Amino acid sequence: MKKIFKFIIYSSVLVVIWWAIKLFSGTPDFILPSPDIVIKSMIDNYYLLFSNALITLYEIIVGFILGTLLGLITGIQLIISKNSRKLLLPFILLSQAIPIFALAPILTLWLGYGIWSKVIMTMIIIYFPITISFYEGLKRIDPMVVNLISIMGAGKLSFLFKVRIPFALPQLSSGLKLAAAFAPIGAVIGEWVGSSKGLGYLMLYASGRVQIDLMFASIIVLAIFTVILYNIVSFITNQLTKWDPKSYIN
Amino acid sequence: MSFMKNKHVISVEGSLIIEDKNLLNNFSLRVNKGTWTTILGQSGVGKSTLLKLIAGLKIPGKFNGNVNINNINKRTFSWMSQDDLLLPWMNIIRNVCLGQILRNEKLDYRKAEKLLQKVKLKNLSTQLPETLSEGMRQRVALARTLMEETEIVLMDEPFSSLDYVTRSYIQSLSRELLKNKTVIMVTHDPTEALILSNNLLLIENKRLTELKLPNSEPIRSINQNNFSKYYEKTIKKLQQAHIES
Repeated sequence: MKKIFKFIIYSSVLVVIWWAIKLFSGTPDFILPSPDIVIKSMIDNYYLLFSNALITLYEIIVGFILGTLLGLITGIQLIISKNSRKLLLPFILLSQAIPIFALAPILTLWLGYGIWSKVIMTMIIIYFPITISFYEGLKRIDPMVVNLISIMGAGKLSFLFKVRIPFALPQLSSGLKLAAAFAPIGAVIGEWVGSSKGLGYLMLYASGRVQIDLMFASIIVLAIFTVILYNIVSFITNQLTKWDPKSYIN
Repeated sequence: MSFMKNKHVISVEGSLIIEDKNLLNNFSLRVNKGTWTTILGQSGVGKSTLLKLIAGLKIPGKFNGNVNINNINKRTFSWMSQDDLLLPWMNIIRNVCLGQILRNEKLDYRKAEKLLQKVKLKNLSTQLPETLSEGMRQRVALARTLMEETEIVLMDEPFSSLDYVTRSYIQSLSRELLKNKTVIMVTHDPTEALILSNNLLLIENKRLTELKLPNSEPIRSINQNNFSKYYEKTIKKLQQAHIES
């Protein structure tokens, strides 16, 4: 409740700043529409926004889930196999050196205008923070704990799932939170490059028709998605790392 | 000769080399069943490495020699160290049952509760480790060690991070609860060594030498007549070892 109240307060402050800039700068509506025009556009284009937002939301969620799974599997693979570390780590780093905008047209060419090119874009954008944070978390186990567990006669799987992975959760949760903030960017970039649906497509459509109010409305909906996704991920990871006093800042 | 062999639960002979330097030269360590053996020495002389070697753990250097353990159970050792090594996401009772959890065995909560009662922490069994003081956490670690029911207990400076009062309390508790177990402890503290041990070993000049105790019995209290005599002797030996190193 407190969080929702805070969110309303912060949003209201932003709207007031936006209004003030508009009022005092005298910028015309086709460059910077005032908040009331954008709200009116949201109401008028309710169905258009809703139907396109659902597509983007679907791409974000599927991409986020698949990207997370892929990142977790890679993290485990990296920790259990030295050869994987040698082979995979350079490629993982290389994947980050390629600009995401350069990959989008290739993925659209390969996978078409459907949702999968956007899902893959989302997966690519979140894969790195999840994989690296999880791998770093898995690495950071106290060697004395490893000795204790080894003396207790734990099997490799038991050690991995009952000790290593729980120890890695605080680090992984940072990666997941970053991923939650990045995932919508991946989906929208994919839609910009080639699509006939989604919020990214709607932004381009509105921009082409100089409907700046609709463009702003799409951005606001996307921002709301990001905030909601971040908070859901944050809530889940906080529950999973409740035991870690470092996870909380008073 | 064969009688002598059987009497020893652990015997280690050889040389320990780290970074091309001999850390322990042609040493011989024999530990009798049901005794408390303490290895004393300054930092970096190889005390903890020796303990790891006995436990079959990875050591930072090379060991040329033999480690013979007259195995009693399938799992031979339990381990207690300076850090309690409690898993922070598990409550106290699950931490005590950690060995069973890791080996996918049926959990014996009743036994764990009995042990927690012995270390006077039964009413805290559902709490997370972070809510406990250092002394309490080390008592949980002691209960976890006892839960393993191994013949041999290896202790790597188990009391060194505790304040004086807590330390002396947990020392007496350990002495009581680890009675009849074969304990090998590594420590810096000569008082602790004299109070608890049947056998006292000192690492000096890359050698393992024995400091004779009266009738191989621990000097249980600092008020005991001959405590100061042996304390002085031990301190002198430690200082000598420090100067010569």
